[in-house]
Amino acid sequence: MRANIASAQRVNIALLGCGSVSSIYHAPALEQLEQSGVVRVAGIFDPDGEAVARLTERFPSARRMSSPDDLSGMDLAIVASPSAVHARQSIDALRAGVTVLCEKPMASSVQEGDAMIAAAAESRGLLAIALVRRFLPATQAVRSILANRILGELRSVACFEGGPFRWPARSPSFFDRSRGGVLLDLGAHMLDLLVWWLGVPDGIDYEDDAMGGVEANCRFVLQYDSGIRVEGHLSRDWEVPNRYFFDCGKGWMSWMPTEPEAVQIGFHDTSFVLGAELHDRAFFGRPVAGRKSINFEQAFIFQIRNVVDAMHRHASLVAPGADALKSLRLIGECYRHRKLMNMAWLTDIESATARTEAGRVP
Amino acid sequence: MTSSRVAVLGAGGFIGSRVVESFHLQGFAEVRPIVRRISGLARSRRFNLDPRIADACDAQALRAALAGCEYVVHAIAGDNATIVRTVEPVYRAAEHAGVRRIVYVSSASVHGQSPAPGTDESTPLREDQPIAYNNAKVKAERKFLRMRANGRVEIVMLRPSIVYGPRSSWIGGFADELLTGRAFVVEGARGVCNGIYADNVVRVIQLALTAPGVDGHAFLVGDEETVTWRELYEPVTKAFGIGFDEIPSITRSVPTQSGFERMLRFRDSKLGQALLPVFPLRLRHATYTGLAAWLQYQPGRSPSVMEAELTPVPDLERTLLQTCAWKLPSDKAKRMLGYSPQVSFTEGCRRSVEWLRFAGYPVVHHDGG
Repeated sequence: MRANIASAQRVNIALLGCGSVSSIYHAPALEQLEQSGVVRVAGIFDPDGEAVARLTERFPSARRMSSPDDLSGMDLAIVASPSAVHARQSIDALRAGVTVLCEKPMASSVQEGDAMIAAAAESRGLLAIALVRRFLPATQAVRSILANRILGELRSVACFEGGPFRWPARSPSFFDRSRGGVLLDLGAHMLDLLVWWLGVPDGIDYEDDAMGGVEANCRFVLQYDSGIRVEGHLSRDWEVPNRYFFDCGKGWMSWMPTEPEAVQIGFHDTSFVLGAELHDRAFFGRPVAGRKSINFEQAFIFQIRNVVDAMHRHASLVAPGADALKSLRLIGECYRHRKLMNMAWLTDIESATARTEAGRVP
Repeated sequence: MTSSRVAVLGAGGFIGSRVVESFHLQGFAEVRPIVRRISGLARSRRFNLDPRIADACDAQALRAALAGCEYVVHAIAGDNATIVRTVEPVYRAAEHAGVRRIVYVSSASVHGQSPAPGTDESTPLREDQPIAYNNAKVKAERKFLRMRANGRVEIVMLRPSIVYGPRSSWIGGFADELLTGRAFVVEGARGVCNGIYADNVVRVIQLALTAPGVDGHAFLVGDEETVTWRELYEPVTKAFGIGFDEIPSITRSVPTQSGFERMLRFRDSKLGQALLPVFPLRLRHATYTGLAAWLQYQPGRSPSVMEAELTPVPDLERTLLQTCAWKLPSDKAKRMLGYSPQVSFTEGCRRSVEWLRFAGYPVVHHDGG
């Protein structure tokens, strides 16, 4: 196996899947890392030859891979294919001795996620999941503020995220039932962050608006034995506040996913709000603000860099597969116990059909 | 009707998505949602339906999407150019597919936002109104009628005005304004609101698809009740625990057309359209952006003036709407389509507020909810 490669050696990367997430986020990050001499994009695979051609222009030294398991000479596979094949491609790569950075959601089902973890353990390989939000300065600040109880004991969290769906999906199959709806898509990020910040909840309640298809809206409540209550709301339908709000004993904190470098903090005994922009600490560890911290696009560079550092044994994975499996299990629980949301605008006849159709959602 | 296949163009939009939802859940017809982009499928794919992707300006894609459909509901939103440009490809594709009838969701705006007393479907339409959207809708209706004169597909045009309900910008947009402190009304919002609850629009679309003897007709459609804008907005303010009188009320400004709107009107005029191509695109864009910024600029603002003290400036559309004095009649639709509003204004408002709660707005109070 090649996971423990020499530090000076460039990591050969296979990019599996040339869809929007690859062209918009991974490719620019890889271009930067190639220029820095950290990696080399050595192979690209996608069933769509035109999509491969577009990315190969950006990485001229990459070869067109004949199949996703054509991995000879590769050190790291970035699995950015449709989520239905995440598990198969990741497992094949791990068994071939190749480290995997798999896009979120890590898999379409808990069973697939378990199989991926088992394959990583059997091959003693590294499996990272692209839960890129863990690399954002704001989410790290939130984690630190909560862990250190800077605003006192956390009492409740309210998370609203989404808006009219705008992701440049390439195929209508993006909305296939096997790929889940907004919960498995955007919820993979939200639930991962919540578990990362607060741990695995002790109870969960879930409802969505799938009526024979995939949900565009969903709502969940997580309960913790400590008394913390988390309400989450995700939408592909309507512009929701896009805000994570933390109510604590001494004050509150708010983070907007559209602002990866900023948090707001308020104290219960003042009427002012601290609008905090996150900066890196200045060089030499002095307690002053240095340059502005990284943005969302740059987080993709740090994400790949973290996997490379882990391969060199210079760091541990920030988003290992085992962590991602925790939120995937929660998503599985949600779908298993799904209830139909109350849509009070439906007529009686419509509601009756909606309930029947919702009952058919597997 | 249940065995008929109805294509809904603009299925991702506010009216289109409710048509899909209602037709499908009622079992009224086999629905085929059609959207311009894959991303527009989010609402339709809540159901186990067979949607299609087709840009309404792409006749070839439309032909494939409409194949096998007997009826088409045209509920495409878009900019003014799109409103006019989609007419011909939609009509031609419908004809090619053997569609019997197109129901076009036009707008009461063809009569202006503040129609003169006595206005009804027989009132002549004008293409030189100060709001370009109105002219685009007039042009689209006329173009459909011209196509019909030489084509086989029947056309029925519906003119709803203020369509409110779940996912309506009149409800959600106003809620957003309230929650961000940007809400204001014009002259106490005492003007007539020509509202129609979304389900009443769906009902009249159903009727218009099959009613006999209505080919080529246009119908104004509204709720039964005559209400003011205040009555439409008040349930939303109440839902958030805000008193309606806390909302700033602006006196109607003397110039009813802003400089920016005048510029847009010039751009859309025959003279503007003739002159603009002479100038390079970049220059046009820079001029447009610069003028827009200049016209929005308000000089002489004192640094001591608190932000909240700045008076909002109502745009022409809002001013006209909220000072409207005429309730548009639905008599023709009642007579020829058998239209009768199924949902009362009070019930429509109640359902709208329930949707606000569903969508995650902080609803704290509800009459009878």
